[in-house]
Amino acid sequence: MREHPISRTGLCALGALLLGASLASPGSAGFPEKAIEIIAPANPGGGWDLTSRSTAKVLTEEKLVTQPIAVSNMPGGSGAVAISHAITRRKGDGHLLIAASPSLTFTLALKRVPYTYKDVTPIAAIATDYGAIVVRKDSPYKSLKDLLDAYRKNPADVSVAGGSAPGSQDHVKFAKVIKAAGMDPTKVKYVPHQGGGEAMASLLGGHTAVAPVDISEIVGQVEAGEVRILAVLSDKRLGGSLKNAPTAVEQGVNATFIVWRGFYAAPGISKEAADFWVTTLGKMVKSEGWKKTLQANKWFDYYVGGAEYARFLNEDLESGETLLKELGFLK
Amino acid sequence: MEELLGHMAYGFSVALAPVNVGYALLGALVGTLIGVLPGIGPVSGIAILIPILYGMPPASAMILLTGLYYGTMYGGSTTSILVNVPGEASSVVTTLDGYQMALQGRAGPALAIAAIGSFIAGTVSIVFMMLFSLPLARLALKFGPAEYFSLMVLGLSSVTSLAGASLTKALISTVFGLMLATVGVDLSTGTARYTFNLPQLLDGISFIVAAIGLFAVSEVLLAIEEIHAGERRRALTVGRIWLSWREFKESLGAILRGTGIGFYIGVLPAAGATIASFMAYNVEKRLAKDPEAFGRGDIRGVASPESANNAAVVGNMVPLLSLGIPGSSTTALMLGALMMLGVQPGPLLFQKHPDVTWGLIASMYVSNTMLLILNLPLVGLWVRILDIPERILYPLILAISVIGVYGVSNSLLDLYLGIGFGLVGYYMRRHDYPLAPAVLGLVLGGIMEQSLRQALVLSDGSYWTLMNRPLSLVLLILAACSLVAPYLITAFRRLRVVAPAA
Repeated sequence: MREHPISRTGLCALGALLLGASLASPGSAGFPEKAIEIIAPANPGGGWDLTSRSTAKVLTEEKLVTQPIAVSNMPGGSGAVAISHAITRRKGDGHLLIAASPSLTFTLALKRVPYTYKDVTPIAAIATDYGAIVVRKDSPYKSLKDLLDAYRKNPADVSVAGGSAPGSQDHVKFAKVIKAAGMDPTKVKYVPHQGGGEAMASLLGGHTAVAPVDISEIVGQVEAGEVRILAVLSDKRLGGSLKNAPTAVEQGVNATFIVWRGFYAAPGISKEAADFWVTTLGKMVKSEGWKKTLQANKWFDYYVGGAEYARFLNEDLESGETLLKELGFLK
Repeated sequence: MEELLGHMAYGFSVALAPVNVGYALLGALVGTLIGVLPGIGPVSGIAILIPILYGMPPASAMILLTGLYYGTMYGGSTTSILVNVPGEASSVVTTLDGYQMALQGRAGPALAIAAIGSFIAGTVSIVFMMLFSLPLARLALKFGPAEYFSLMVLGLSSVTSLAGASLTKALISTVFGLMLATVGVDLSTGTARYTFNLPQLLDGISFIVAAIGLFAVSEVLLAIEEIHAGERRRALTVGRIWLSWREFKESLGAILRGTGIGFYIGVLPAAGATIASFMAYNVEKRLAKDPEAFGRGDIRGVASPESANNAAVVGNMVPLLSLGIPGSSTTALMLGALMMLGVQPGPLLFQKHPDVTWGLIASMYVSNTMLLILNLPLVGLWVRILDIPERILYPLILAISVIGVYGVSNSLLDLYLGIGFGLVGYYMRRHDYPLAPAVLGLVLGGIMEQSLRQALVLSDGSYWTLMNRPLSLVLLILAACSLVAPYLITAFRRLRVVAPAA
């Protein structure tokens, strides 16, 4: 197809006009004025990577951000490397978001780095997953009650396969349930593994009795009937293929574990930048594209933004520290 | 059987769709390139590709990734053989005999046997996988912490095969590797060990950094010194490019044994191609009538690890496809990619997404054939690397290593560590400490410590758990045999020599 030279210039002008208009529309003050970077504090293919890439994709497709968005991976110490980088190297950089989840809370609670959520700018939680306690299909434990009775009789009979070190997410999920049932959480026989996949292999192979998991990661195993969910750690029952899975709460054990997924920004960014991100992510979670993303990743709808999110994070960290003290991981 | 043929016919209809053949070829090409470049391994390769996968049909995405994973194993041996710098961790063992062959002017046959061995191993493994995927995966789950620990002890016992003149020095090198493996957050207690408050060290010392430093950087340092002194031995390009029929016959046993070992180790979650290659080499040397030929340019010493690492890649896919459990960092990435594409990995994958599973299995045959066709002519090209003047070649190796280390982690600390390891590697080579055991120790150390402690938590602190489980006991006995075998053989031979004289 041969183009008329004029039409090309015309197109450019029109493009520039449109670009100018779209840049001026959100916030109308001109933020963001350059390319955005989203850091996934882990290797590609994990939860944080998925959070970052899905967000970048939806923000671009829904035209909520017209500047290009690049996702980079900065693995290390469950978020420790990335948060140190943001605080020491990127102060005031509003064009940067970093993915976070409770893993980071435990990194901070265990004092892996000398920071707290007060040292960064919390933006928003945009989706969530839930903890769950699962057993093999042929396990003698038919309900949460069976499991708790066995623990009451002899905690050493209930070996727990987790995908992270003691004092981290999986260990704490289980400890929370034990504590809510009024028993001693320090007696938990916790067997740590390198990642959820290995913990699942240990459970399915019959080497351990129970596994505290993130529900989205085991939907495949549940649908195949390989594992049985004893308790979902959410307030209410979840839908879809999980509608028959009981919560801990309805079985009289008041324990929940929200695996929120969200973002924080570097410290000292302008109010304009912070507001832009809080509102833009707020718009994003209402979009059609995001609904599809939630479905594909088996995540659940969840949004907490701005000051409320900052409060939520600080409380999360404090309660995490309290529990770790009880378990003997913190002095 | 009928059913299986139907599945495979369907699989091939997916794999041979022109677009998927294109993806398989792309994966094979990129994989070979990544394999050849030291420091950039399958994990980084897949990591680079993941963003491109968004919006691709899941079957095509998986075909691309598997082709790439596979290609890295083909390419990994190239620099091991030509310049003594392994392209991947799983090709570290290949340097032992491969580089010696190159020095003798037999780089061509070494590269050719690596490609042919990879092809045979890959093809045979895919047949295994097709027939026994599910029962194999179930069997692998029976491997508990105690068995893993014993398997790692058996793996460590292969150090005796890697030792050069002095077993003591090989053991010191091994212990150095094991010590490096303790850096980072201790999984069993959550304590950070030897991290000096550096968050970059919380996950431990990256395997790539250590391997690149110890091998590539030290090789460059050594080359500079030797070229200056005028005593550098260059690998020769003379000699045949092709393999002779006799060499092929010699290697066939090693290829088949390497395939068996590699596939079996690959199926076990948490073991992997690197461990498989070390163990295959060890077995080959133990079975040989002339073990002293190994380490001096024996073609079996190239055939066995190179077959094992390709078979392990196929084995690695078994738990991923049939149970949704990743067995290595590479397959963990693939699992992530599947989830990203909206496919739930798990035991139902074969029923719910037959295009992904059967299409992938069929495409592995396709990739394998492509890689052979691609790699055999490349032998002639790769050998020409030896014609590159040293003053260009070594800086090039160094530059690629730096890119490999920094480009993947974006961490300056890794770069400094790489240089540090280079100096350590240089010292070790100057004083005849073999490097391979250090790499073995680093790879095995983490899993070994972790499984021992898991086993002890489960047994409430009783070490008998390692002996009580039959499989674990068998592995430990094998390890003991592997350790004392060389001495028994020498003693036995001495007796026979001494006897007539008496």
